[in-house]
Amino acid sequence: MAEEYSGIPLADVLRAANELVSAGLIKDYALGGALAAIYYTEPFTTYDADIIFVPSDTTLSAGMPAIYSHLQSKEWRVEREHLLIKDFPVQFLAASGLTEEAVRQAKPIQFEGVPAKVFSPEYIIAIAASVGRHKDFARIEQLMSQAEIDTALLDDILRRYNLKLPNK
Amino acid sequence: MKSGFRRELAKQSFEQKIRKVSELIQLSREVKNQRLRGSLKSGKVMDVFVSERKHERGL
Repeated sequence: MAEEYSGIPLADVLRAANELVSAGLIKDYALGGALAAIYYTEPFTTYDADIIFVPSDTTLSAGMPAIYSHLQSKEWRVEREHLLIKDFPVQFLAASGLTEEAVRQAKPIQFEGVPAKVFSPEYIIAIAASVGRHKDFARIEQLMSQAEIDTALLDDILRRYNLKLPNK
Repeated sequence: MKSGFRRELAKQSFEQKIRKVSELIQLSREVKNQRLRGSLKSGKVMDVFVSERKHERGL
């Protein structure tokens, strides 16, 4: 039987992340990963959303058990490393170092009326350079050709985190 | 030319782009399902199924 697919429930994801902030379970968050890149580039296929958060709980678990418990009480499901909402996988990743700075400097947006934040292109590029998989290099190239990049800011981030772009 | 077109796509609203990504996911699922059905038709499982039906009709 064909599966019913109702599209990416991004507004629900962002609403849930806002609730986590209101409940004090996380301090701040931003949309990262491929969906953040798509904010600045042409659309391309991706199968999950990454929410990068600054934990309220500074212990090793970063408050993940409480976050999972809160979301599961709102009918989210757990499947391996993902939480699923309406069958769409979402990863909640605790920020530190470069990713924490990326959250703090993220761009405020509205998605379908829901306030949220998305990583700025300079931080997406720097994070992709730090991860260094083939698809990260492709993402860097795409952002460099399609997004408006503040090169002074990008160079500053790359220098401070000792990172290099693949063609530099 | 092509890169200009891509830059134009990049200027769409985030909502429009997310709808497009949803369509791409749906398309990818449909292609996957079609491939799965196609591979069953040409595979040994389907050969066995067809030969069994022929055998039944012959009885």
